[in-house]
Amino acid sequence: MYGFEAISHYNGWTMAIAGALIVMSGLTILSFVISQLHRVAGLFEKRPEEPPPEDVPETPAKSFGFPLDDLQEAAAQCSLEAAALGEPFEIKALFEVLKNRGWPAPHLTIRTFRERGILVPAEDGLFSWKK
Amino acid sequence: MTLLLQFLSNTGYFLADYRHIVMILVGCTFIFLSIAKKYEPLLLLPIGFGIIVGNVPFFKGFGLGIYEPNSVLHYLYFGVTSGLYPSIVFLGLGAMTDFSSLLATPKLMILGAAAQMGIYFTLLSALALGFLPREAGAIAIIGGADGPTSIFLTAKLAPHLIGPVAIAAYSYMALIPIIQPPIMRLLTSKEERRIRMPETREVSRKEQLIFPVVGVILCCFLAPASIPLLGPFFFGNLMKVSGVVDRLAQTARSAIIDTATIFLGFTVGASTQADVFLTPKSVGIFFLGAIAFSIATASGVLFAKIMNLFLKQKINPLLGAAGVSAVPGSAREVHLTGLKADPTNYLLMHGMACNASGVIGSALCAGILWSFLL
Repeated sequence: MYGFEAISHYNGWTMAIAGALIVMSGLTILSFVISQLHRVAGLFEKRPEEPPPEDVPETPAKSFGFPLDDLQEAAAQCSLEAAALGEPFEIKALFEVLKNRGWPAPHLTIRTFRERGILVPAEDGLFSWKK
Repeated sequence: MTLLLQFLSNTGYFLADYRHIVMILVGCTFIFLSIAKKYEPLLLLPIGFGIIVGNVPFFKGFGLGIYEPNSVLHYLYFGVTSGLYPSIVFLGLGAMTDFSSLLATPKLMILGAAAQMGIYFTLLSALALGFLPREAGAIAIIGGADGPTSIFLTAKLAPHLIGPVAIAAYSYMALIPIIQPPIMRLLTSKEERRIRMPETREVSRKEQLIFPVVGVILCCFLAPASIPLLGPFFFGNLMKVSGVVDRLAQTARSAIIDTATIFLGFTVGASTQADVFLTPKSVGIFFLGAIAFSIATASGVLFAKIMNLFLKQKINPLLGAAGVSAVPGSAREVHLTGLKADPTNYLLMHGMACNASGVIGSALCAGILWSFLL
């Protein structure tokens, strides 16, 4: 037996459609559940105690979200915070500074600076701010 | 003199025919591809050598062949026919897999389901070509692009097809760099291939700990027949992320999976004895396997494009091709194809997320097909 006749005879259509629907619905449900996992995990998180005033870490003058709204202002803030690195500096060092200071998406920020010419290559694989 | 003639008549040189030579050449080709081209060497090398060993002609009845009871090869082959090796491989895979990128981007999991459509299309094609339902189910699972899953399901549904199905599955997995890129390019525009994926968020340890428990419950309750694969898989992952049984996790992802892979590859190769392998059915299986792989890739890419019609944050449709569970080959090809369109677009981590989902999807499909065709 061959062709559509064989498919119908052996319930091929039913198996294929039901199988596809089951695996699709199964993984969709799993996808939905794991999208909510961070909320479930949040329920088990201990609330951090209020830190004493003297322990409050230094925060940037202004926080930036990604994508960067005001690129020039973000670059100015960033260069201030990374001033300790001197110039030229390694991208990795800048990344660490931004990460420690709590910048959102530090590597995307750095990439944007590079693409917009705010960070310019210097010698030996180092970078500096565009003057 | 009689003794000498009798000995000579029992040698492989005397008993060999053209089919043994063909299969030995196939084995040599696999070894060449694994060493010279580095195509899936962990699999093709043991399989290639197993093919050579399995096709050394011998006098039947000596208890030498893999299909002869009480032979050493027969005992080793028990791990294949019982589904033992695939389960052990899944344990190791789970202990290796990092689900954090999938947990950070859950919508990519649906691509792992979409890429399984090749399985069901191939099921219909195999039935149409005259294969019996259980044979069709075994052939269809090649579309999952998962060697251990293919072997597991074939051992359960059509043990006489283990050799051709396994060889087809692993051959096409090794040929991913040749099969997938043209399909991906054909179905996507350059603009689509340039779509950047957002940076993934950091996933907490608690999420990673909850996922394997939730995953095994949801998947195995839905398709209990997938327990032999998904049970060890999620258990291996829990060992990895728990951080309290590092020794066990380390053993599962090294010594245990390596041992199972060696015996799995070698005995599957040895099971391809010329007289049971070189048949018209094998040709049909290879033909359907190619279709299964191509349809799986295409369905993943097309589904990603359909998802983009409804999503605000578009996803790169190339990722759909990584929904087949060939880890990490298909994720690598997606990444490389994306890089060709935009050298600064890195898709590897997102591709691995789809790959991980594909592993779960194909194991789920195996369980579903096994349930249907029991």
